[in-house]
Amino acid sequence: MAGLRLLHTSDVHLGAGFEFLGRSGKDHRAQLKSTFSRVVDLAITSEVDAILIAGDLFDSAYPHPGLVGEVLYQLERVDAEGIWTLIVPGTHDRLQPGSVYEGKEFSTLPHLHIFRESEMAPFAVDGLDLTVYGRATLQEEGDVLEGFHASNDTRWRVGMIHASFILPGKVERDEMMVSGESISRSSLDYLALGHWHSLGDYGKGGVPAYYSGPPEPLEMGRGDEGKVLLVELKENGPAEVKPIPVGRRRLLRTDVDAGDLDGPAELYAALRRMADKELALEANVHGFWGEEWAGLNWDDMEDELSPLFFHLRLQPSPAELSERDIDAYPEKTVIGRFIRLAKEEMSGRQGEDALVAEEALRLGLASLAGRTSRP
Amino acid sequence: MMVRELTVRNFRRFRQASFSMDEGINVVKGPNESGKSTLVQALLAALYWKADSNRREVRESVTWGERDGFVLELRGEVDGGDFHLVKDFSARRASLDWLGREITSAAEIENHIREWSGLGSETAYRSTAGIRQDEVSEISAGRKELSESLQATVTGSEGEGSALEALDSLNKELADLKKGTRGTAKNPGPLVRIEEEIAKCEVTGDELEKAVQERIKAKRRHQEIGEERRDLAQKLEALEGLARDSIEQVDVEEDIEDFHRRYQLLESAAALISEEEELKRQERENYGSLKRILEGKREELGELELRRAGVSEGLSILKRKITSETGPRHAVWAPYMVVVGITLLLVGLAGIALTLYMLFATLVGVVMIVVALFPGGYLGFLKRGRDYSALKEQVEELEDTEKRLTQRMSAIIAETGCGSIESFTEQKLGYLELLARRKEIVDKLEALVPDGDITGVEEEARRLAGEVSMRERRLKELRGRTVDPQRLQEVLREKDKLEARMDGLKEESIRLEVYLSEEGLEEELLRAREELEYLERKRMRLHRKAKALQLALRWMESATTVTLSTAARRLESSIGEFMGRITEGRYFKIQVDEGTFDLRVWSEEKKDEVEVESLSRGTVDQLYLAARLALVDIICDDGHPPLLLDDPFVTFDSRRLQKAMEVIKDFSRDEQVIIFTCGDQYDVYADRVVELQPVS
Repeated sequence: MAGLRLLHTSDVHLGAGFEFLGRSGKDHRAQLKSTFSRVVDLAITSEVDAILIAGDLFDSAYPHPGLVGEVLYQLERVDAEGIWTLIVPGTHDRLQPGSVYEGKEFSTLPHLHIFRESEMAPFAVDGLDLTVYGRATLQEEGDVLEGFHASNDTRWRVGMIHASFILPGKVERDEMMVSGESISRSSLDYLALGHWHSLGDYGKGGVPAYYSGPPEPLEMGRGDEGKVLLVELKENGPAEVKPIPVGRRRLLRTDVDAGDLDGPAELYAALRRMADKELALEANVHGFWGEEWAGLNWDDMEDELSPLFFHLRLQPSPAELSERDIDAYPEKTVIGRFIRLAKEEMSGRQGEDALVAEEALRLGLASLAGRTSRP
Repeated sequence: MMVRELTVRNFRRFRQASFSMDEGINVVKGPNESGKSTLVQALLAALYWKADSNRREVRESVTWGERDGFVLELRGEVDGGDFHLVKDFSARRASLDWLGREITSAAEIENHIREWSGLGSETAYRSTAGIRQDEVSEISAGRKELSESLQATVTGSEGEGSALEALDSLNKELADLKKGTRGTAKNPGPLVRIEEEIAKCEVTGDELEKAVQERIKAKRRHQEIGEERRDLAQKLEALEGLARDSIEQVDVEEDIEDFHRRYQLLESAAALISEEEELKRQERENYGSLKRILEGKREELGELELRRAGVSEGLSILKRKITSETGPRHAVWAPYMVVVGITLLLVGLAGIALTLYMLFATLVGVVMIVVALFPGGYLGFLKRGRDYSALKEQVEELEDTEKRLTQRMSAIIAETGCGSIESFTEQKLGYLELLARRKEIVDKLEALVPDGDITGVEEEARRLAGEVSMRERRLKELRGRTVDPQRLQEVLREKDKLEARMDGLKEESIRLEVYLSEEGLEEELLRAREELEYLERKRMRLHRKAKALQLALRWMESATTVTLSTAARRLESSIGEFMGRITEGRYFKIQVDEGTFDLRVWSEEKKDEVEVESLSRGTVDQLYLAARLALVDIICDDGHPPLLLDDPFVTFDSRRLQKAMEVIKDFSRDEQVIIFTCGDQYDVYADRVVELQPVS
């Protein structure tokens, strides 16, 4: 065999709840299933030799039967193509009494292997000259790959693990940990990592090790698409790892500086330009201040823009009034005194109190300008 | 602060224009669309817009078709010193020449503008130092109270609302929001409604959470059952093996015993077969002629024997009868008594003729006869004498028949070689015994060898021997894997218990599988949680808004109270001074309500305070302008912004205009005034007239 082609995914979190998406959560949950189906399509069309699922395929150790049935259906599709699927139970779909991987549902697929061992265990994959090492995720101390060394019984040796990568001073505690040193000593041709929800290269000492991140994003972040990794192990030469976008949605948390905007209408336009039915946007709006913003009703704007997005949340940041801002209003006017009182009280407030004060300032200005936002 | 010259480049309709002003009253005159509003905006932009701003208003103020931004230059005078302000919105920079120093810091420039004008923003400028046409016309037309307009000015907002209206608005908004929070309300406010929705959602969520936890428990239980069933299955298998082997051992032992018994039977059968052979030989050798005679003359012989037996029987009966007939049948004395009686009778009868005493003898004779015949049984004896003879004859006849039959039988028997019937009978009995024995053997063999294959008996015996050997080997195999029958019963009881437990677990497992196959519970829970998150976020915003409204109210009340009361006192003195000057002392004492800004004027003629409404229209105009201009001074403190009037007296007749302009003229002694108008009515009051031409 000249080489080996693998599809590496992890942290699919099928059946996850998305409280931060509110009423859109159910649609995103449905999208996770749909995206997993696309992952399977990709595996088939790319003619991979095996799919590596490095933990947290399900969001729960006890997914409901419909979800298990869907996964079974998808895995049957790859199984029918003779493609192997290798799964390690993760932190969410943990191996425990009555859990999904303890059931008999997956026992019917001849090309499926689930690692239920509590130590790195080898599984020789029929017909591929490949040994895959994997283990279930458990609460453990220390580096779980410490002392691990893949044997050379087969040409290809691949590892799978659902753990955090030790980053001294940053990441030093988690349920399972793996270090760069142990990776470099593992003699693996590739290590498929799962647990972290962003794509990353953590290879060491010539051993390629990657987090694939989820195929569909799970939390608000940089708005990246979900990806899987297409891994080509070659006889002569290093492994080629190619991220393939498969996710449909982007979950973006961003700051919007309203300082240069003339008011709510321009903010609306700025947000409108970002509109995308596949984008969940959490916009932290700051820098707005003045009477032109007085009539802004965040809920109204959110309601108006929401249909243009998959999900939209507008988060106002507390205003920071400068002396220049305040001096713009003569002290001998009601508005001037109102703003100075607001400034005085806002200076000592933090968090929710600061937001309350900001809203009080805005509501006061709105009422002075004769613009009210009735509930 | 006084504006001397405003130069604009590429600002809206002005590609390049310069406007000069003087102190006092400046009238900027031009028809509609000649650029009066643009000039006002240019002046305010020069003062307040940031040169580096990206705001749309700034971007869109560039003259159409020009690629570069606009530039505004303002030359003027403050406290006798000249200033030169340049704001280049193309280069995004500003500079201020003031007292021989070039200032480029935007913040410093802003500070100077604010200090000179007393106003820090375009909004503040417009609401304070700008008097709109409608502001005056609404009061003069009675559509707005004078106090309301003054309140709006001192409020300082870009809108036309007053602080009191703002307070009302905030109170109303808060009340709407909190409606129903302190008791029941017909149409509760959003806070109450959201709490109700959340409560419902929480109940649903709790119920679903419990149900999902139950399902997880059920899954775990299902798993435990699976494991217990596997354990039980193993135990059952072991017990079943033990029981099966033990039962097999018993069966094998019984089989062996049975085989032994059957083997013995087969041995018996072999012996019987052998005996049968012997009997057959004996029959052939000893009873050949007898068998032949019996087979050839069986019927005749049988009939003879039957008849002979019948005759013998008859003879026997008759002989017994004769024997019984020939026994003593009368009293021994009876014949004698008959003889005596007859004798006496006869003698008597004969003697009667002799003597009558002989009659007595006759009677005795009769009595004796009677006694002998009856009590003595002699009469019966005489009667049976006749039957006996007949019997004797029958006996003889039968004895003849028997003799003939015997002779015939003897003739037949002689053919068998038997010398006599007795020996024949003896031989026949022996033969019959032999036959009976053979029959018995045949019957036994039939039982032993039902298929009648007597020839296979040996083979069967060999087979049985083989079976026994095989089973004995099996017994050896079973050794150590079995229990004794008593223990076997315990094993079977234990097995029954395990099977019952297994059945119970199976039933429970099926129930759990049915329960677990119900779809949608987890999804419902997730949706309930997501809905709750949505509602809680909404509630958080509503609570935040309620708190914010309360806070805004507090600030607003405080700001309003302080501002209105302070302004009212200063207004009283400023308006009084102003009005006293322009009315030549007629109205010099004004009272201002610090809560509402309602004005009352002291009338020297009436020696009393009078309502504003009772004054002439021209006086009211003057009063308003005096108050309005006084507020500019109050609000701007030490600042002196040029007063911008947007054709405020356009609806006034000449008399009212004159009165109003008296106020403006007075004001213009200290402050620069710029009046924007379409007409010529202000020309006579103007220190300078700037004419604008329509731009094509």
